[in-house]
Formats: sequence, structure tokens, C-alpha cells
Amino acid sequence: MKKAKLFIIYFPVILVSCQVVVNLLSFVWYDGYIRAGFYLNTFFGTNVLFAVFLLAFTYWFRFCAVSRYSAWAEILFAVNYMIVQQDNLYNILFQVIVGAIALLLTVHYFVRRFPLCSVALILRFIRTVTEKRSCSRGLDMWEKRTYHFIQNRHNESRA
Amino acid sequence: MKVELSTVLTVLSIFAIILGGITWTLGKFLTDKKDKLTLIFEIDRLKEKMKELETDTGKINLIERELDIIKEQIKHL
Repeated sequence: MKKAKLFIIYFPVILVSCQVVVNLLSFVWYDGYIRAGFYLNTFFGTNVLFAVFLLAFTYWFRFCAVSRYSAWAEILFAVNYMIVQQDNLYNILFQVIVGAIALLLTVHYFVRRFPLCSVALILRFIRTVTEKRSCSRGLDMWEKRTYHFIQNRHNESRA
Repeated sequence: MKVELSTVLTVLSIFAIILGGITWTLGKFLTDKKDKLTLIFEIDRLKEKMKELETDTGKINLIERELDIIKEQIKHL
């Protein structure tokens, strides 16, 4: 049940990730992309009503807030498709760039909201090592910052 | 020089697997460290609470020293 809920929460993120991968596929294997076009479009194609539904869903249910950027990306894909009306290079590039930005914003939001998750820990470690230009000093700084986040989480749970 | 698509994909796949392995190991290492820091925080919190107790200070100091030893042990796990 928990896994099903997680799937629902992250569904827009999964969908946008798949769409970006499919669009990248067109660059590396165009023949395959054209041959499987019907199936790819059926599974990962943009649908305006569904995009609106996803956006409403992520705003209505606050536990899905992490997927809002991906829902916005779906809306942008749909609007772009209605304007361009062709599966050309412009359209593919637009989807790759917008999708990648949406995924980066999702990671940013996720890391800010869950500062003690693995992704946040790794990104904080990379940041502190880059700041200190030393692995051991970076790790010390990382420990201090992570301790601070643990303290904050405790205070928030008490408030 | 013409490079085959399969060569590019193989190289990219190898890089992705290596990067994934490094990230996974780093994530595990840092998660362990975070768990240790959580334990250390809990000990610090316990020490703070003990200071608020108005009982035998000798006993409190003894327990505090014990907790410091446990903290050091956690750090070196």
C-alpha cells in the first residue's frame, strides 16, 4: 500500500523522466524512435486533459507537492505541442530542456523538504567538499550541518 | 574517424554503472554517518535533560562521563 502511494505521489516525475528518455532516444536511435512511435506515443504521449488533471491533483493533495514541477512541465509540453503541431527537432529539444529543468527543480524541492534523505546527504557532502576543497574538512563541515538539521527536525516535531 | 553508436552506448553505460555504484556507496556511507549523528544528538539531549534534574551531582557527572564515552564509541564505529 505504501509503495502504491509512493508511485501515485511520484507519478508525474516518472512520466516526465520517461518522456525525456524517449526524446533522448530520438537523438541516439532515430529509426527505432520512428518505428516504435505509435507505442511510445500511446504510453508516453502528452494529453492536455491529463496534464490539467495532474496539475490539479498535485495542488489539491499536498502530499503530492513534490511532483508539481513535473505537472507544470506536462502542461508546457501540451501547450507547446498545440502551437508547433509537429514532432520535429524543436519540439523534441523543448521537451528535453523543459523536462530536465522540471526534474532538477523537483530534486531541489525534494532536498529542501527532506534534508536528511540520501540524495540531500550526498548533495550536501559534494557542496561542503567543494567549499572546503578538502575531503576531511568537508566531511567535518557536513557533520556540523547535518547535526544542525537533525536538531531542527527535533525542534519542529516538538513544536 | 567514425564511431559506432553501440560503442558510444557501451561507454556511456559503463560510466553510468560506475557513477551509480559510487553514488550508492557514498549514500550508504553518509546515511550511516547521519544515523550516528542522530544517536549523538539523542545523547546530547539526554545530557541536557540530566542537567535539569536536581539530584546528586556526583552521580550525574558519572553518568555524563559514561555518555561521553558512548558518544566517542559511536563516532569511531
